[in-house]
Amino acid sequence: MDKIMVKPAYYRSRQGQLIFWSLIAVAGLALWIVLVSLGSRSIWTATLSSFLFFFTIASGMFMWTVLMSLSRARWALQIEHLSAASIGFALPSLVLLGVLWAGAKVWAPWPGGHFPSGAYLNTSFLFGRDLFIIAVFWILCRIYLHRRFRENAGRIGGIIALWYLVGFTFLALDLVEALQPPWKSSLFGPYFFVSALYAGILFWTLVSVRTAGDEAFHDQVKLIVALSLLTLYAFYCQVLTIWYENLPEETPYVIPRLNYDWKWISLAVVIALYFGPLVLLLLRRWKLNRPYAAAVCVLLLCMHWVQCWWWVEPAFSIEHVHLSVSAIAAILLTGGLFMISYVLSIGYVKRFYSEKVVVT
Amino acid sequence: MNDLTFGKIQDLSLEPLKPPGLRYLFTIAILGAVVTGAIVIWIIQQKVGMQVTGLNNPVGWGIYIGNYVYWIAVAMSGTFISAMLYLVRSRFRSSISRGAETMTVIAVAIAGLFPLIHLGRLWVVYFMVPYPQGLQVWPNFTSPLVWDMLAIFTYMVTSWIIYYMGIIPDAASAWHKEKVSPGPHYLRAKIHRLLAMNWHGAASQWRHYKRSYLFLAAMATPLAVSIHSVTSWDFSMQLLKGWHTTLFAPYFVCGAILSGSGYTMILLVPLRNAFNLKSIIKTEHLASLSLIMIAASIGLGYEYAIEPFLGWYSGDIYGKQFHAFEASGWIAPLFWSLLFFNIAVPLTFINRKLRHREWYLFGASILINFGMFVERWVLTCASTAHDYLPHTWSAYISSWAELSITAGMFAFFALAILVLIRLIPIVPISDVKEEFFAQTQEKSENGIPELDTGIRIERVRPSDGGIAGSFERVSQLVSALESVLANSYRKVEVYSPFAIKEILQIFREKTSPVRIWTLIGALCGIGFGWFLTTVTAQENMLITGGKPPIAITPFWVTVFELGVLFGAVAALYSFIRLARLNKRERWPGFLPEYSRDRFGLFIACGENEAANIRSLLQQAGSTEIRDIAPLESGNAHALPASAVQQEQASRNG
Repeated sequence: MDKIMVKPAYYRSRQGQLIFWSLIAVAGLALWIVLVSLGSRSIWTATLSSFLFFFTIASGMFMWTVLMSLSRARWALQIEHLSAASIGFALPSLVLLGVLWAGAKVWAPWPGGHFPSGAYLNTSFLFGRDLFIIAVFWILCRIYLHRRFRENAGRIGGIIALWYLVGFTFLALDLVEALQPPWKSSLFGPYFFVSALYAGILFWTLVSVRTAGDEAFHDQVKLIVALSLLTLYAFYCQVLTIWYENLPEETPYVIPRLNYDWKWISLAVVIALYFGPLVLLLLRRWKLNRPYAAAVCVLLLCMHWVQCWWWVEPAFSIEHVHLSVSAIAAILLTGGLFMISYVLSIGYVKRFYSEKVVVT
Repeated sequence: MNDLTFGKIQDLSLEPLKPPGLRYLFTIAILGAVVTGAIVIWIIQQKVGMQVTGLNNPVGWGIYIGNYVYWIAVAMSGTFISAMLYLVRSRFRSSISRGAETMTVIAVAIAGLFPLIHLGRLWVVYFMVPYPQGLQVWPNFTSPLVWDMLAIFTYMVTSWIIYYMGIIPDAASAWHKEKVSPGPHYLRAKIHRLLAMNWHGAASQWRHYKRSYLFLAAMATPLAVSIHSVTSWDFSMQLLKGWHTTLFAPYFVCGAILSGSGYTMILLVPLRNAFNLKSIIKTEHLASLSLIMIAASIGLGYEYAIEPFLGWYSGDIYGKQFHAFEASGWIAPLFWSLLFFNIAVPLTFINRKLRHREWYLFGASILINFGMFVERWVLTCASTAHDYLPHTWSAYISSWAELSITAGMFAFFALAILVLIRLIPIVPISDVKEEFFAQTQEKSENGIPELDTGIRIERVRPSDGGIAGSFERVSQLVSALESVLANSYRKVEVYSPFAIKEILQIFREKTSPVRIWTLIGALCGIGFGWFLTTVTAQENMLITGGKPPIAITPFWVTVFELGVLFGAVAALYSFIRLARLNKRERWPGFLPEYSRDRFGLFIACGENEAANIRSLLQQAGSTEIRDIAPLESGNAHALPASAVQQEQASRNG
């Protein structure tokens, strides 16, 4: 197999980027500490929203690397290291979840509660298994990177895909569904991991905007449209079934989101995040217009943050929407950490691709 | 495909169309007898009523509805596999797509019959169509049964359109062969002539063809998902354990992909052996299909696992007792066997050796489809047989009448397949040639020259005269086209047995007006969908199930289906109009071998330019150069293409 030449666009100003994102993270951390010390509950839920936002991006992005390998697609090899670099968020994601665990007494609904599933929603058990799921996922990803171009890459890729399917169902159940304990939906797991793949392709396209070839970029944008429709499908199947039967154990999730202040947020998420790509990226020339496509990706990523926030917040504030400084602090902190880890790991991941891809 | 040529691909693919032997006719007769028997039993059922079935209170849905779900699943996956693989540019798609599509068009028709059979009183079926019944009540568009009817109709139309679109170039190939032998008056030749319309494989036709096929595939993929989702909602919109769950739609889709892929396998393995198609439908292609089955079985396994888990998680006692009934009640042997057939058997394909043994794949696919049929049977009757009230718990055993009609439908499926494979090529000839060309192109060191995509080609008129050249290789054709365009000749037409991407670029494939027509059609469908749902709800003003008469959430289903239906019809209509398939007009310079293994280039020009063009074609390696005399306008539209060719031949001596 011939080596593929990749433009060095993303490695030029690494130090500058690190300084910039470090400043962002430090500012976020300072604000976060102040808000925590003031006893704010919203800083914790905003941290959970931001954790879900960046974790879904990172895990979804890495899953694209795996899916490319499983489907033997070669079109993305040139930009694959940009998605694999999301492995850098492994440690920050575990730390952030650990922090959320530490503050669970302040914000989580589980401490002291009595639930039909008994100890399953015990706070320590819940966070313990989620940390385990995430840790195993990243370890598998690390092994996969090491074997990416070896014969048995497909096998480890298959294991990661299975772990993603099962593990992320538990994450969805624990970190979103369980925020409103009577509520259950068997579709929320697939909805969650499809959303993560959607977020992953959005960020991957954004960081590939200067590097990808025309065909690869076009394929990425087409995947954005496909994933938006798949997410819409999962969302609609869930809402329609719950709306139709109106059962008490299912409606706690839907009622706040289809009524009160939250209905406007729901409308924005559906229009912009689910239907947006179908309209905004309809024509081929729009798909290939890189500044435009990048702007659409930024808009959709913003809406993905809104979606994560909309998954979490209505469980704590059913009628009213409160978007406070807590959200800014959480975004700055988690976003800064995410970007630092991402920029650092590009250099780290590069070595795994040096056999097949030349990064000059 | 190493030992293949374009001509050999054509010959192998058209081999099944030869007149059948006695064994074939005997099989057809047997199957016909079984189907006739089923029809007789159905007439008896109409006469004496539903008492001939095993349906009882509370089990009101039995094997007929199970059959319906099963056949819809088979139907769904054919178009889904074909369209989805087309969109992702899969390599193995070309070999299996026609088999999958053939299966779809028959299965969807069978599926559509079962609700009618189950209805008992067939004549009240018009309650479902958008027409006010006796009490001036319109159908309720919040009802899953109305969505179902609409979804089946849309899917049937769209699947037939996709199937027909794929047939057009192949029917033209078959027609050009058959008009020589056995002759143009044979019934089969006439059918192919009719199906091919005015297809000549011209680049200006391929341009619209590829675009409309792409849009149809893009619409068919979500449509296929929607049809089985809508089927699932027939169940999940009801308050019964085992039915009502949010995951039902994706679960049905996974099951459909599993059974449909299995059915495709069951179809292709004997066919490739019987008609010597192993060099086209390769073992690797079947192995790739088995990988799809692994993914689908994992999806099914996910559903089987998540439901009991959530039942435990939420402390739902009814859910728990229902899952206990499935695992240990009278239905348990069927429940455990379906887990084995639908999960364990497909997972054996993980073994590379097993998935490369065609007869293992064939046998396993039969087991999987048996498992899927059992699953549909269990799914349909278990929930009603074991609902919330223990004193109504019951059992259901399918009667001889139900089983006979079921057997009749399987026989009808086999019969229809056997008839269609003798009429329509079972592999898409033009797609296989295109894939073969792409593969040989990759291996070849000398690529074909790139053409200047900025050049604007002018349309060749039927009455135009000029010079035509034949070529054996695509590279020669492209070289000739390049030099002709470099000499400022713009009125050109290219004929080829398959779409050549490099040439279509300069014929502006991407900007074909098909996209505008399709978009307008889809928007009209969406508009009509909203109009129909809201106006009929306004007219009825009935509150059903505590829902408002005008309910936006469920109306999306109708809107989506009508959007796709109108879009698909618009795509086909615009393709036929733009590619001039509806006009029996002359295509200057066309020869029948251009639908087989030769490539043609026609350049419209005056007599003073002929010598220069002839020399350009000669330099590019043309095997045959012909002068095409212009026709007076008016004659061109009056004469059928074959007559025009004969006239030209006589003019050219």
